Amino acid sequence: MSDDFAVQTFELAKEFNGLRAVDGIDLKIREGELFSLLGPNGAGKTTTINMLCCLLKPTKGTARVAGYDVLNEPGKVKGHIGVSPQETVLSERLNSWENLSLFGKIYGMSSKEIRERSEELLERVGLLDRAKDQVRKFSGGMKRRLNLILALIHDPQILFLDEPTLGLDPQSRRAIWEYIESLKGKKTILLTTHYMEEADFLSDMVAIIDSGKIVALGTPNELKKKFADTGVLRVSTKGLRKDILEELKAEYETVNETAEELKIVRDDLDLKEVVDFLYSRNVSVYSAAREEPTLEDVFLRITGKRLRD
Amino acid sequence: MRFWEFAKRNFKELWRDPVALGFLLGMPLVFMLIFGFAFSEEHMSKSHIGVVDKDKTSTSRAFIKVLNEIEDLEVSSHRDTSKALKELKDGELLCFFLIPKGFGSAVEENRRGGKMKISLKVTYDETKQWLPEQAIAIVEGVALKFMGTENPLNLKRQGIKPEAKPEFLHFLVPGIVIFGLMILIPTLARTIVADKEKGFLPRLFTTPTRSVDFLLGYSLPMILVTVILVIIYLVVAFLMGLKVYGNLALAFIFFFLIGVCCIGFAMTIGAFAKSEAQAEPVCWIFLVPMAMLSGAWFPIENLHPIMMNFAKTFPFYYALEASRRIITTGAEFNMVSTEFLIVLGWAVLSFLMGTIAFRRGIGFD
Repeated sequence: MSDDFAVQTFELAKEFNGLRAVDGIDLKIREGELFSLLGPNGAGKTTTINMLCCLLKPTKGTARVAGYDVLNEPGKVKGHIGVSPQETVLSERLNSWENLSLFGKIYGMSSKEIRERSEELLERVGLLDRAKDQVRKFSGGMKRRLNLILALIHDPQILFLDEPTLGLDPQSRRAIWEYIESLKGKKTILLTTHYMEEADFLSDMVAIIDSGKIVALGTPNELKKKFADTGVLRVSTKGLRKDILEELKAEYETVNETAEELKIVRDDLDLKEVVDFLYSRNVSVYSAAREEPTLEDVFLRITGKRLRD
Repeated sequence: MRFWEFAKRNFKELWRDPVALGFLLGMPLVFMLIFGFAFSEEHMSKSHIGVVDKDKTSTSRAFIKVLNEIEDLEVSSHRDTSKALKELKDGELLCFFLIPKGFGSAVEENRRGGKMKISLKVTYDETKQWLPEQAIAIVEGVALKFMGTENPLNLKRQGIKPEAKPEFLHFLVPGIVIFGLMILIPTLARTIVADKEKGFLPRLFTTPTRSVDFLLGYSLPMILVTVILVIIYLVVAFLMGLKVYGNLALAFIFFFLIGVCCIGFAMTIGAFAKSEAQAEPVCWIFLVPMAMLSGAWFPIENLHPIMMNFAKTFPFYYALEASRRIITTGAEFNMVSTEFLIVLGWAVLSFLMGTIAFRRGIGFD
C-alpha cells in the first residue's frame, strides 16, 4: 500500500451545481486506523465517502484507496473496500443468509466460504437465530447490524461506515459501537458520524469537517487538549427570563440552553463573573460547575455550531 | 456470474411480494375470467337454433310452435336452407333442422298407429363442441313427445366447420395476454426505481459489479416472468374455451417478443424516473393509451386515421393482429412474417434503448 496510508486524499473537492460540498480536503488514514469524520448534517461527510468508494467523481483532486486511484482504477478500489451506507440498504424480502450470500457471490466467494463467514458474522452481531426470517420483519437495530456485516462479508481491507448508528436507540447504538470497536486494528475504518460521543469512543483519529472543509484534525484527546483553555460552564437556574438569556448570549458567544440548565462555552471563562451576572438580575442559581471540554465543545468552539444543528 | 445472483435476488423479491405478484398476475386474469364468463357462449341462457320448414303443414307449424315454447331454445324459422346455413356459418346458430316434406302426414299416420319413418336433418357447427349436441338432444326429446310414438326419430346429422371467425373470447385472449405483459412495465420500472431510491443500486455500485450484471440481473427474471405469465394466461384461456386453429408456438413467440419490448420500455422509464411516485404515473400514462390503441379491447379499424396510424407505430398492434390471426384462422408464419419482423425489430430496439438509458440513467454523478 503506497506511503503506508490505506486512504489518502489530495485536494479532494466536489461541487453540485456550483455549490461546493467538499472543499479540497487532504486526509491521510493509516492501515488499521479508525478514522472519524465528525460534522453536522450537510458538512460533506457522505460526499467524501461517496468519492472514496467511487460512487461520485471528484470535481477536483483525487484520492488513493488501498493504493489505487479512485479516478483511474475504480474497479480495483471496489475490490478492496466494504461500504455500509447511511441508509439501511437490504433486500427486504430476502433473509439474512440470502442477503449475505448475494454480496458474497458478488465478491466471488464460494458457497462454503459464504456460509462459514455469514455464520461467524451473524453470530457476532446476534442475528444467527433470526437468520432465516425475511429482513422486512427485523427491527431498525437488527437491520442496521445486518447492514453493517454486509460490508464485511468479503473481509475487506478498508471499511467505509457512513453514520452506522443513525437513528438507533442507545442500546442498539452501543451494540454496534462494540462491534466496530472489535474491528479496530484489524481493518482500516473511515467512519462518518455526527454523534460526538461515537467519535470520542471509537476513533483513533478525528477530523472535524464543516462546510466541506477539515477544520480540526487529531486524536480525540489531542483535540480536547488543544482546546483545553476553552471554559465550559454548566449552570442550573430558576427564573431565567428570555431577555436575560439574550443578554447572556450577547456577553458570552456560545450559550446553549436546555430545559434545566445553561451551558456556556468561552475562553477564560470566570465562574464568579457568570454567577454574579445572573444574581444581579434576580436569577436563582442552584448549581454552577466547570467541565472538561468534550468533542462537542471543541466543535462548538471551532464552528460556532452544534453538531446536531 | 454476478448477474445470475442479482437476477435470483430480483426474482425472489418479486415472487415474495404478494401485492406486486397479485397485480401482475391478477388483473389480466380477472379480466379474462370476467370477460370469458360474460361472453362465452357456454353461459348464454338460450341455445339459438334454426328451423327450415319444407313441409309447411299445420303439423310442422305446430311442431315449431312447441319448440318455441321450450325455455332453453331460441328458434328462428328460415325459408330455405341457404339462409339458415349462412347464419350457421356466421356463428349465429348452433344448428338448424330441416323439416322435410311429408313430415306432417307421417306424424299423423303414426299417431293413428302407423309405422312411418320420420326423418329430421340437422346441420350443426362442429367447432362449438358440445353445445349443438345439447340443443339437438332437446329437439329430439321434444319431437318424440310431439309425435306421441315410441318410434325412433331418424336424425340425419351433418356437421360443418364454418370458416373460422373470431368469437369474442378468441378476440379477447390475445388482447388480455398482451395487456398482462404490459403490466411488466410498471412492475419492473418500480423495482428499478425503488432500488435506486432506497440505495440498493448505489450500494452495489461500490462493489465490483459491472453494468452488464445489472442489465441481466433485472431483465432475466422478467423474461422468466414473461414466459410464466403467457403460459398461465393461455392455460386459463383454454379452460375458458379458447380453441387455437394455428400454431400456438408461433403465437407464443409474438407474446414473448412483446414481453421483451415491455422490459425495454420499463428499463428506460426506471432508469430516468427519480422516484417510485414519479415512475408509477409515467408508466400508466404510457401503458393505458397503448393498451387502448393496441386493439386489445376493441377493434381499432374504425378509429380516426391519425389515431390508427399512431397505434400502428407501436409493436402491440402488430403482435395482437398476428396472434389473433394465428389463433382464430390458423395463419402460418409466412402470413404473419411482416408483423413478426416489426415486433422483432421493436423488441431489439426497445431492449437496446433500455440498455442505453439504464447505463446513463442510473449514473449517480
